[in-house]
Amino acid sequence: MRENFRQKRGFLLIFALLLTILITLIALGLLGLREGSYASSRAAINSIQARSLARSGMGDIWVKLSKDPFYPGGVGDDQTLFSFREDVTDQANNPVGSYQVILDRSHRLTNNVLRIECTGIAGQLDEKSSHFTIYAELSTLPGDFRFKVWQEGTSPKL
Amino acid sequence: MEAMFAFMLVFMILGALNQTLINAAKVRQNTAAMDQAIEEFHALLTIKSDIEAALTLANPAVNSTGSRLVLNRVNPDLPFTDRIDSVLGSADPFESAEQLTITYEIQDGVLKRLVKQGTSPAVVQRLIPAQTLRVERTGGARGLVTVSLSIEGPRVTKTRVIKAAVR
Repeated sequence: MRENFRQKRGFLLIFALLLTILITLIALGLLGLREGSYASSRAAINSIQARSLARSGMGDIWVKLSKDPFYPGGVGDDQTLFSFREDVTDQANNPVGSYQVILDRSHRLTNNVLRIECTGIAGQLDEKSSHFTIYAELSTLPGDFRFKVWQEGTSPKL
Repeated sequence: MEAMFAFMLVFMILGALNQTLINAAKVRQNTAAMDQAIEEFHALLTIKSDIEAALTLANPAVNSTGSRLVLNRVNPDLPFTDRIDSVLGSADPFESAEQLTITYEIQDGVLKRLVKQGTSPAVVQRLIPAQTLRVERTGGARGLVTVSLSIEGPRVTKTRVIKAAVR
């Protein structure tokens, strides 16, 4: 009887350890299931930020062209395709992201249209982040200077 | 002594698991609410994007309010080079034959986007369940459009509002 009792000593400890491992595995599994949701939330935030950056780029080029219809060259400039990129920081000078603007002036004289594409990139370029592209056609007709085509979330066209 | 230690270990783990599950349930609730909010904002951003792309706004009239939004925009499926085909048509890339008429309205408790080109039947897109749509135009022809969408949630009815400038 005493021998049998000795053999059973430590049973509860082993049982508790096994239970601990089992419960830990279940908890880790549950946490792992949520990983997709967290990633989805992060992606949604990045996407909104990239969209805002793309809109900022469109605002930037709009202001530049409204002040100078021949931006970035001059009247006699034959270059049709231009591109520039701006980094955007917050008030504390932390990088927020960037936007790239591509301006196609090949139909400026024939159709009075400038084709513009702006891609907002959330975060720094070396980070895993979101891109968002807006394509627009700007009418340069005198008295009708405005965007006449505005497509958000497109794949790059220019 | 051994049993006490074992029980203490089990209770500690059970307590931690309890906290984990409570937090997981909270995250699940918040994620569901966020998913719903993302759907609502997606619908509103679609409307905003259409307003900003509109060549003309047919309804509501300037400085008035309505429950439908009707606008005309260039068909985004037509590439620019096809729209300036001077052999087959006009060199104007924004002519009426290349435009879509888009209507937003509530039908059977669902916000719908009806896309119509020329005389062809409208393509209906179901966006989100919603109770009312209110569209207000202020500030003249190139003014501001305020879109209010009432959405019935599990506990309360929320009104989401978005503003867009007519270009």
